[in-house]
This record gives sequence, structure tokens and C-alpha cells, in this order.
Amino acid sequence: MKIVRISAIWCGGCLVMNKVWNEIKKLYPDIEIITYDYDMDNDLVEELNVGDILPVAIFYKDDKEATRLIGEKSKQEIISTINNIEEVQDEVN
Amino acid sequence: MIYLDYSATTPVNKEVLDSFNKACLEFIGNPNSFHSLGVKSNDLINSATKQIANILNVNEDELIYTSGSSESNNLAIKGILLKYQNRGKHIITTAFEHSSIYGPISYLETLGFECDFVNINSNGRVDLEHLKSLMREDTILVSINSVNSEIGIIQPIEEIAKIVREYPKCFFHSDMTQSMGKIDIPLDNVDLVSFSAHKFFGLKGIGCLVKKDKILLEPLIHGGKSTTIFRSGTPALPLVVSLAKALRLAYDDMNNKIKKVKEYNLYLKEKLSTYDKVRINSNDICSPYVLNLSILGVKPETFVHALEEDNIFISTQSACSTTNTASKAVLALTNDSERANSSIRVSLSYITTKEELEEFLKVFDKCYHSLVMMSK
Repeated sequence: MKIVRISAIWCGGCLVMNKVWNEIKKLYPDIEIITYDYDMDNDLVEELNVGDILPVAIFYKDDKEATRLIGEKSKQEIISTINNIEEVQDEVN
Repeated sequence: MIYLDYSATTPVNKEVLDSFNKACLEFIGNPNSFHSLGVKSNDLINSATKQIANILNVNEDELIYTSGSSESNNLAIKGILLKYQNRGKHIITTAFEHSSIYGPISYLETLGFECDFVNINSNGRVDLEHLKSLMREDTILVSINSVNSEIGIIQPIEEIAKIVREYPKCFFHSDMTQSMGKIDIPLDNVDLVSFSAHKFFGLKGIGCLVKKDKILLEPLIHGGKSTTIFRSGTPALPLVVSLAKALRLAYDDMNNKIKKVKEYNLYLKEKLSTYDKVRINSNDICSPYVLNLSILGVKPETFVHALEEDNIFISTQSACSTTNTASKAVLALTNDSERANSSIRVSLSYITTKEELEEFLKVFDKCYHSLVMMSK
């Protein structure tokens, strides 16, 4: 699984989420978590159709987008999202 | 034209501009030059600094001139955290701050600093018990604004300062951009205070960081002594003079100005709250200069542009939206995403007139009915 986070330096919600994502990284060391800066990495971000609200986290499974979370989310919501994607994958297999 | 976006910026006062022009034309020397023109400029900048210090009841050497509040906030946060990182790497702030608070903190997190957000109560004020619980031995800075720019919530600065005081290694910074020159908040118990002149009819490009004596900062701009070692560059004499003038004018008759703005704010609230789809987000503990409201079902930028067609200027305000549409502060206060996605800000000043408000209400009514009908 891969997760792409889109955040911005001016965004308080993104700052709030940094701590949560650091905990997620420790819990799931095998998941690749990449962070794009909304302003600096705009070429990459543009392709992702990010809407009005930051932060955004896009979850990929086998290089396909599985789901995305928009705005501030709790650690538990992120864990549930990861688990749901893994469960769906298990069922497919 | 009816301008009701004074929290974003204010038009410059003619007297302030005259002072700036006079200083530009008649005081050409660099205040740091030893010749007579330099001495003349130095005398003027010292006199302006003395005036600002007297108004704010601080020492003259506690004033650091900057380009505005964003620089002041950056200097306070980076300056303290980098200078005192041997004491700890923990900072506390709120969800109600300006992006120039979040920016430097985001940057410092990449250097290993850690940030916690203090909760707010249902009325928008900082949860003091939560703040107490977040304070640690390695907390070196608490940064909380005096008045939130989106909704206008006034924070209990004295009470916050009291909590921070119990941790002698920790400093208290307050971004007072939205209260300076409007509401008289004593600076006695705050270590660092940011403000900007253009919020109180001064010029854009000049601000200040008040830094209490004996506190050290890592400068953002290195290069030797200016008016202070903490911010290098040729002293911006005309801007400093204009700041002193703007501040003096702002403090003149401040109580009557607030009284007038309060009356207007209440009047607007009373009239606007009669609309079925309007929700007033600013509450009783908010600055009277700010009135935030939501028009349910209507995109804020649509409403702002509709008013603009009749030459009325208000704003949308947001902290975490790429298109300035959704308000994080309104969401944090109301826990209602519909309100957060439809909030607009009307901001008043002492030069606002009753006639302007009547015209605003007339146009508001027209826009409301056409846009709310369209949204159905």
C-alpha cells in the first residue's frame, strides 16, 4: 500500500495531522507514505485533482487509488481506512 | 464604495501618509550615519520609537521593526525556538492562528521540533485546563493570538500568561494583529507581541515585534545593528514615523471608537439574524470589529462577488482551503461543515457609518433573496 499526503505549509489542519501521520508511520512501517507540498509540488498535485480542502490523503493499493481522506482525521479513522482497504484486498485474493 | 473588510487591511489615514511623506522628503540621512543628516534622522527615529514605547507601555529597546505581522510571527517563533532549543523542542498553539504561525512551525517540525494544539471550548476560547495538561518541561513557546481574524474571538491573554509563567523556561508569544490599535490589551505578561500598522490605518510594509528585555532571538536577517541587532537592514525611518503616527491616532479616543463599533455590530447582528438561512458565527466574546456569519447553501465567494457588483466589499476567510472557501475556524467553533463552507466576514471600523450599514443591509437583502432562491 502507498499513501500520498497533500499538505501546505500555511495550513493549520495539515500541521495538526503531522503528529498523527508520524504515529501511523510507526504503526505501519511497510506502508510507503509520501508527502507532497500543495504549492511546491504543484505539477504532481495538479494531476491528483485535489479539491478545496487540505490536507488530503490518497490511499493506493496496487498502484490504483482505493480511497481518499479529506480534511483533519483522527488516528483511528486512518487506521480504519487502512484496515478496510486491506480487508477488501484479502477478499479479492 | 462601501468597504467592510477592515480586518484584512485598512486605508491609510491621510495624516499618517503626510508624516511618511515628510520623513521621506526631509530626513534623507541614514539614521546610522555619523554626519549631521544621519544624526537628524536618528533623532527622529528615536523620538518615534519613544512614542510607540510610551503608548504600548514597554521599553524602547523592546521594539523590533519588521515588514509586518508575518515577519514578526516568523521572527518570534523561529527566533525563540532556534535560540532556546537546548531547553526543549516543544511548542503549543491553537487552531485559530494565522498561516504565518503555522508556516514557521511546519518548517521547524522538519528540524525536529514538536507542536501540540490546545483545544478550544464551545465558545471558542482556549481550554485553559487542556493548556495546563499540554505544558511540559521542554515546552519553550506558547503562541496564541489575542483576537482571531476570521471570527473575532478574544482569547484570555492574562489567564494564558499566568499558566505559562509557571514554566520559567517557556515564553509566551501573542499575535495581536487583530487587536492592536482597536482593543487595549495590556502587554505586561506577554513575552513577545506581533502587530502590523496597516490594520489600524497605517502603511503596509511596517510592523513590529515587541520582545521583552533580556529575551534573545535568533535573527531571520543577519547583518549587524539596525535599530536592533535582532533585525538587520537600514532603519525604515519614514515607515517607523508613520507607524508611530498611526498608533497614536488609533489610541486617541479608543473607548468611544469601540463603543460606536459595538453598537454597529449589534445592529448588524440583529438585522442579519432575522434571515432564515443566516447563522451568526461570531458570539458575545468576539471583537466587535469582526462579524462572521454563514449563509447556508450559498458559496461564500458567490455572495462576496454578488455584493461586489454593488460596490460593497467584504471577505471570505479561511485557513485550510485552497480556494478560500471553507473556514477551519468556523468548523472548529461550530462543528458544522455546512456553516464552515458558507461563512463570510464583515469587518467594521470606527470610520464605518450608519448610512453604509443601511446600504449594505439593502444590498445584502437583494443578494440573499436571489442567491438563496437559486440554491433551492
